[in-house]
Amino acid sequence: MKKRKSGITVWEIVLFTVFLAIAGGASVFFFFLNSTDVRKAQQKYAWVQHINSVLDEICLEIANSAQFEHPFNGSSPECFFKVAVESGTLLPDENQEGFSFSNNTLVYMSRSAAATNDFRRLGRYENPLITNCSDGKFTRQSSDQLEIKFYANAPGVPNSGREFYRLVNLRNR
Amino acid sequence: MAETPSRSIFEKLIYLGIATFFLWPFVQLWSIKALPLFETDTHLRASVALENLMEEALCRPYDRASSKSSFQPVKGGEDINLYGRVEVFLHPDMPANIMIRSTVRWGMFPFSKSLSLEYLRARTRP
Repeated sequence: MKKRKSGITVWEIVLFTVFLAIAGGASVFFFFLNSTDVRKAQQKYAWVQHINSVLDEICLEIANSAQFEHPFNGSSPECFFKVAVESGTLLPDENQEGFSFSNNTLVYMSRSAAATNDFRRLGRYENPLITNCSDGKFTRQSSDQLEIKFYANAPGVPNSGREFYRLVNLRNR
Repeated sequence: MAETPSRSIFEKLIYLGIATFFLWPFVQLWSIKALPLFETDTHLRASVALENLMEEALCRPYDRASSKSSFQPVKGGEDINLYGRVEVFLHPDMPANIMIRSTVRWGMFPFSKSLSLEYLRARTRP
């Protein structure tokens, strides 16, 4: 009569060790997730993502403007354009809207023959749209291309800035 | 040496199920092409580069012939091996329109990732 092996087998020991290793690794990983480094990295990522979504909105606004006015050529810390009037045609409005880098912020503003005002908000973003930025400029690369470039510093973390760079195709010139 | 009893098919299925249970989250991470903790920033940079590439392609005048270009290194993305490409071709179903597709690719070979963006344009400009 064959005697069956009783007790724990090698296979089960290996399986147990593998699961133990996975559990140990996972717990170390969860401690790492709670660490300050990860929190800082997440905050920085959220900041970068916020600026990028603001830039998306700005690029959409500029790209769909009915008539682009201000940096006719060369570069400038501000740009102005005329949006389309709400008539279903592409007739430009008489007031100009624009974005301006001033006092280390980027603001959304309107300009008419009489006055220049800051808007309260652009879409879901409050004015000033971006704070703590420097060297910002709008460069007209060609008749239908605008480049936005600036350097922004992360809030509260020194020497951790980043350069942001966007190209915009001016659909209606 | 004592003969070890072989596992039944049922037991093997149970092991497979347990292994799948442990490994499934990692499989899902592969399908979204990023480990959220470490690679989101790389992903964001690549997507911005992709948008820039597309906007630049839209600014250029295009011809009717289809053009397939090869991957060129993207300026500013050298540290993650970022390469970009723009393709212009007739839309396969609507020959009156052309399609512009930009693609960025980054990372090393077995783990390289790519994103692409397509834009449909009329062949004659208004």
